[in-house]
Order: sequence, then structure tokens, then C-alpha cells
Amino acid sequence: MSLRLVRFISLSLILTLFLSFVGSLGIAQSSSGEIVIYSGRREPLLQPILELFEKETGIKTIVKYGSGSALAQQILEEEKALGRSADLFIHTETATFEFLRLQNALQPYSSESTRSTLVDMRARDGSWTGLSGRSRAILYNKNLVKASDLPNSIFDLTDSKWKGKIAATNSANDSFTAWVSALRLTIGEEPAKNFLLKLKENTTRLTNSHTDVRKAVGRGEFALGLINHYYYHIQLEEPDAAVRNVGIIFPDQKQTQIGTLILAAAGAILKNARNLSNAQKVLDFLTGTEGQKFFAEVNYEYPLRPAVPTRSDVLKVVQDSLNCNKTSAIACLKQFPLPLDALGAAAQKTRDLLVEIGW
Amino acid sequence: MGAASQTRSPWRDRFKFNHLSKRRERSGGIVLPSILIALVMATPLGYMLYYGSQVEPALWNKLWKTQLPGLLFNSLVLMLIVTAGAVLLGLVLAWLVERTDIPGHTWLKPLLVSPLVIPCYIVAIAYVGFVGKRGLLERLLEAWGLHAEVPSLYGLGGTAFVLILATFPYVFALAVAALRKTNASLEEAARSLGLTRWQVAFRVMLPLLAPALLGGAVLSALYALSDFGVASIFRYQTFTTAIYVLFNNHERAAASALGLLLIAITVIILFAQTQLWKERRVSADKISLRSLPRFSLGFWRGPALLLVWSSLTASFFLPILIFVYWFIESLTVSATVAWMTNLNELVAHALNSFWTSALAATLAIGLAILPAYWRGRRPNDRLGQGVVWLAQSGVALPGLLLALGLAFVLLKWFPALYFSVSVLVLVYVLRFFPQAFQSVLSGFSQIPERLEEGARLLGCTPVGIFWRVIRPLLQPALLAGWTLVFLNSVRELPATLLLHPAGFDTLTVRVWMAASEGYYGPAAPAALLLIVLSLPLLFFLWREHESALS
Repeated sequence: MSLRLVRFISLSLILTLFLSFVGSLGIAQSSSGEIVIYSGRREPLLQPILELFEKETGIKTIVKYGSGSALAQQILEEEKALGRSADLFIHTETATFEFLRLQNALQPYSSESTRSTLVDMRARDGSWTGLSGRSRAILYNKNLVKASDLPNSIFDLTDSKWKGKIAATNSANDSFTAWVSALRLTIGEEPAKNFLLKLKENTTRLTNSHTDVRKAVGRGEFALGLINHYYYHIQLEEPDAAVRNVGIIFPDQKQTQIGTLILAAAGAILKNARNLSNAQKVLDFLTGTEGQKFFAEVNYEYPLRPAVPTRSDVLKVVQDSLNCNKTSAIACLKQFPLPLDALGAAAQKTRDLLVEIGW
Repeated sequence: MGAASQTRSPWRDRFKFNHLSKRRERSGGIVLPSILIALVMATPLGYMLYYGSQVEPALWNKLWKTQLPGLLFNSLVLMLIVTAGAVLLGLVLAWLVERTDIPGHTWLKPLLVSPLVIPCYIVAIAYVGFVGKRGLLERLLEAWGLHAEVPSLYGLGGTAFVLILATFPYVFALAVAALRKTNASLEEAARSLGLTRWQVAFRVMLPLLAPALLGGAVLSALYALSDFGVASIFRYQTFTTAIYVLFNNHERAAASALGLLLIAITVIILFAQTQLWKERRVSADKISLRSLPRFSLGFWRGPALLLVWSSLTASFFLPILIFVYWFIESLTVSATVAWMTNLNELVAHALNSFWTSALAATLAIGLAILPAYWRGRRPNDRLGQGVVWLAQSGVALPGLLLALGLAFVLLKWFPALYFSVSVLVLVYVLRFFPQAFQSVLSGFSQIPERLEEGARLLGCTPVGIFWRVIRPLLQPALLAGWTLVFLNSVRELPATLLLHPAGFDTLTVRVWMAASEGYYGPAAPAALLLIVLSLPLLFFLWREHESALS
């Protein structure tokens, strides 16, 4: 018995050494046409569409999901140390792409498919391409907030009556960080800091996931939650009717107000991509009609290809709450007066600020 | 050595007396590899200390003005509550099954350590989904026609609750061992001298149990301090969760500053343990062969049973049942499983978990043999003590920080390693090396040195001695150590999350990814697989533990 166990252990040692060798070779090379994707976008919102891509093209994808800014760092480190990294980077907002572009880690790509998306949602030089649009919004629980009490501006949220009633992600969520950057650039450094300090008083920071925020608001743990708009629609999919009693607010939409941030989830081909043509195929697919329809229909996001319609219920919510009759949600919403690529250079300072105020 | 013995008579040469006494000093074949191993093991800690010390005063100042006091308070409060709770619960349960006539005391013992097979973050996930508003419990009650608001467990309460459930089995196991070792005559003598039962408990038994309880307390305290999964699930901000967020935001300086403080607290606790240990040493007699009389519980039987079974339910049965429920539910609701976990992937993730952990366990045990031999055979060798201290210094480094330190070191000097699967194996080896070392050391301490000397006198080569004399005797300790490292590696969370390469998901990564998105159904198969496969190994360990005691 004991001898057998020793044999087993030594055998497993040899076997595992061999496997790890093979395994590390496999990871290091992965040149068999498989596309390596780093994604700051969460698995449930990306994996289904990649599976559709695999089914249609027969090209396999290997995805590492994680925090977008940590992955961006990893890309830079890999580039520096090994001279290469993944093939494709996908993330939920564009500041991280701008950061990578400024570090010369991306390669521009432009095709008929990518050029048919909204021009505001792409890098000027084609370094990154917007895949889907989303706006920052406030989710509220209808059981806990009366219609007359609803805030219509983010600046209402600092009122002491909301103390302990607001949920938000922590600073490891890049959509949130991008929103803070936009705020800093729009209203100025000091006002932004003061606003955030006051907001922090009222707000409970959950994990880095908006899913957590929407669920907590749905369950009635918090009256309000800071989210991206589609989490409202995803919450309405919950099987338990009692947690579906939520509404959405698009803040600061009046003439005199500052507007809200519309972000693009985007994709970019990395500078030393090994499977260039396959990586390009992924971007073409995601910006193509089929990919855009998927983002619009399944993820409730705003399609960036004008020819693809916004999902009717998504559009209706925007039209109703803004009294707008345009057929595109993005066209209806009043946006922060900023180009998306301004956020990249602002990101580091935003993170410093968030560390400083302890968000 | 050879040159010196050539001048001596053939007789002396043959029996190598001189040779033997030289070996008693030091042997290069053991010393050099041991030092090398120790240096490797201490590298992440060394680098973290260096990196942390480079943090600019301005950043310290900023951190101190903002996050630091709150985090310090949160972490310390959590640590104190968990330690107190785990020690109390573990001690009471140990006393009940070891010293009273509670029904089922023979088979309750292995059952009460079984919560160790469920990683604490899985327990936390189960409770988060179970209680609270619109949680599983509330919905189940509703289905029965009861409308009740079930409070949620977020914050300090839930974190402490789950961590106590996760750590009391350690205290329990240590306390059972200590209780079994106490001599019946001590207690009888104290009673015959007129002490009441309570006085015996506090003045005789408690001092005898103190080392075990102290060990359990330190274990629980460090567990609470280094926990990442449970605190983040319950949205409780501690040092570790803050460090994780900072690292993911690429705030490495701030992350390592907080890391440095966390290391300092850990070192203080470990130091306090050694100091208290010195003062509290109570001489223990030989174990009496007579078994101690069991107290009759009488009226207290009911409450005692309630305590035992509610602890077991809360820490073991309920979390498993919840996951089984989610698993079954996920089979019926196809929408939630659409995006992940088909059987092939599950098997692939399980294999990833298992081979990395198996390799890590084998390596850790293999690397532990030489330093443990040195330490076990030459306990007074100053250099040996230093090397061993260095080799085990990783215990001062919570898993997340170890991963950080390793990441920094590898990125700087061995980037190719960092981006391969080897990094996972390496981090498991580094993290659990102290456990492997302790197992092997305890094995050596049970092998009389005379046996080796005898074999050497009979002309056996060192390798021959190891293979034919030591190895067979050491085997149980090696296996126990291997199992321990394997179990801990399979369930390791923070370092795995941080370091796993693209396309290489393990069971823990899958559980975490799914559950952190609130998809409990898809998390269930991986979680259950992790538990089911760990169970036999844990019982093997428990049997070893038991047979070592008897």
C-alpha cells in the first residue's frame, strides 16, 4: 500500500512536470490560430457572443477575464518582457484603451465593418473600436423611493436624506472610474473631489461588479444604485418578481444640467498580435450586423452601427423618460461635453483621487 | 573528508567514526541545498518588504489620512471576534466530544473537522445567496406561505460568522489532541485536594490546554487577517480586500504600503505567540493509558446536542445543501447555464486544479526533506535554525501578498515564468511550504537517529540510508504533508485569481467568477466537485492525526 503510494507520488511528479512543461509551452506559443483575448468585460456579457463567433468561423478563442486595468498592465509587462502579449483586448470603457494607445501597445485597424460604426465611438487613428454603447444611470427601487422623491441629477445624491441608501461599485470598476474622470474634466478638480467626498458619505461601496449593485437595489437593500443602463434591463429578467420592481433614471438631462456619460465598450488589436487576421475577424464580427444585433438584443446595449436598431424596450425607456422621439437612444441622451479619448490621459489622476478619498 | 581519513588505519576508515563525528557538524550536501531552498522561499517576503519600504512618505501620509485608520480598525476587530469565537466554540465542542457522554462522541469527531473541506469563500457564497432580502430562505418560506423578512449578513457580522465557522475545526482538532494527552491523575489529584470542578477546569485543565488553544487562536487570527474571499463577499473592507482593489487598479505602491503593515501585524502576532509559549509552558507527564472518565451531561445533554448539531449544520450541511439546491435549480433553468459549465469544461477545470496542486504538493514535500532533516537531526545548529526560520518566513505573508511579491519578482527577473502555468505551481509551493516542512519535520522526529547510525556503520551510503531506512518510516508523514498541501492548493483563491494565465481556469476560479456575478447555479457544479473530491483526503488526514495521538 505505502509503496504504491510512493510510486503514485513519484509518478505524478514526473507526469505533472511533463504536463507543466507542455502546458507552459502551449500558453507561451498558442500559435495554432487560436485567438488569445484579454477581457475586462465580464464573462456573461461577452462569452455568449464569442461562442457565436466560434460557431460561425470555426476559430477558437481563449479568454482571460479580469480587471481591465490590471489586464492592461499585464499587456504592457508582457510586451516589455516577452515582446508580445494577447491578440485582442476587450474592455468596458475606453480610457484604458487610450492609456494603452499612448503606451504604443495597440495597432490601428480599420475595415469596412469597423468604419460603419459611430465615429465618436472610435479612436481617431483606429487604435480601438467601440463595440457597444452604454450610459451611466441610476437604478432605483420603486418600493423604497416615491416618484416625487426621485433625484434627477447626480448632485441630488449628496443630500443627507440618501445617507446609507445608495449603492455603488468600488474603484476597481473601470466604468465607474471613467465616470469620475469625465466628472473631473467637466466640473473641475475641486468641485469633483468635494462632490465625491459628499457622495461617499451616503454611499455603500459593494464589490467591483455592477451586478452586485443591481441585485442589492432589486432586493431592496438600497434605494438607489449607480449603474450602466443595461443592468436595469438585466434586473427585469430576474425570475423572482419581487426583485423586479426597479426603475431607471437618466440623470442631468435638462437644458441647464451637465448630461451623463455615454461609454463605449471597445476592442483593440494589440501591437504584436500573433493571429492578426483572426483578431481582425473578431473585430469585424463584433462590429458587424450580427455582433451589433447581439449586443443590442441580448445585452440591452446601444448598438453603434446606425443600421442596427436599439432594442425597442431599451429605446422606449429613454424616449419616455426624456420626452424624446428620436429612434436612437444615443441621440436622445444629453452627454457630458467631452470626447471619449479625453478620458485616457485623465485616468491615472482619477485613480489617485479615488485612493486619496478612499473610494 | 576523504583525504583526512586516508592517513588513518583501515579499521578506522571502515567504520568511519571520524567521518560520523564530522557529519555531526554539518554536511555540505544538506546545507547548501537547504540554504538555497530557504532563500527561494523567502524571496517574495523579502521583495515585499523592500518594495514596501520604498513607498514615499507622502503616500503614507495620504493613506493615513484616508483609508488606513478605517482598514486597521476593521481588520483588527474582525480578527479579535473571529479568534475569540473560534477558540470558544472549538474548545467547548472538543470538551463535549472528548470528555462528556454526549451521544455519538466517537463519530462526531471526524464530522466536526469535516467543515475544513469546504473552502470558506464557498460557505460565504452560500450564505449570501441564502439569507437576506429575496434570498433563498425568504423565497422558500414564501413558498410555504410564510412572509418574513430575513435579515442579510453583510458587513462585519457575516464575515465574522463565516470565518468562525471556517476556523473552529482547527481549534477543535488541537484541543481534542491536548485533552487526550492530559493525564487523568492530575485531575484526580486536584479533585482529591478539594478543588471544585470549576476550579479544576480553570486552574488545572486550562493551563494544560493553553498551548493548544494559543496555537488555535494564532491560526484563527492569521486566517481572519489574511482572508480575502469571505470579506469581499460580505462587502467588509479589510486590508486584504483593499490591497486586492489597489493592485487591480495598478496602485502598486499603495498596495505594497498596506501590505507592509499587514505583514507587520502578522509578525507581531507570531512573535507574541512565541513569547506567550515560553511563559506558558506546562510540563506534561507521559500520556496515561487510562482513559479519563466522561462527565455525565444530565440536563445539559439537550443544549449540548443543539450546539454540536447547529455548528455542524451551519458550517457543513447547510452550505452543501444550498449548493445542491442551486445545482438542481440550474439544471431546470437552462438560461443561467447557457454561458458556462458544460461537462467537458468542468472536467478540464478540475484537471487543471488537480494537476497543479498535485505537482505543488510533490514539490513542496520534496523540497522540505533536506531542511527538515537538518533541523530534525541538528536542532541546536544555529545556522540550521536560521535557515529554517527563513524557509518558513512565508507564513508571515498572507496569500494575496505572497502572490503580489512573487508577481513582482517574476516580472522583474523571470517574465516567461510569470505568464505560464508554472506560476500557479510555484505560488502554491511557496505558500504551503511551511506546512510541508512541519509535516516532514514531525516525521523525522519520530525516527530514532540510532537507526541511521546503525545503517551507516553497516556501510550504507547516504542515499541508501534515505531510501531503505528513512523513507519507509517517513512515509506516513510525507503522505500527510502531501495531502495537506494538495488540499490547500486546490482551494487556494486569492493567488490563483491573481496569477492564473489566460485560458487556464481552475475550479476555484470558476466558482469565484460565476458567484461574484451572482450566478449561483453555474457556480454550483465546480463548488460541489471541489468539496466532494476533498472529502476522502481530509478523512485520510484525520486518520493520520488520530493514529498519531493514540
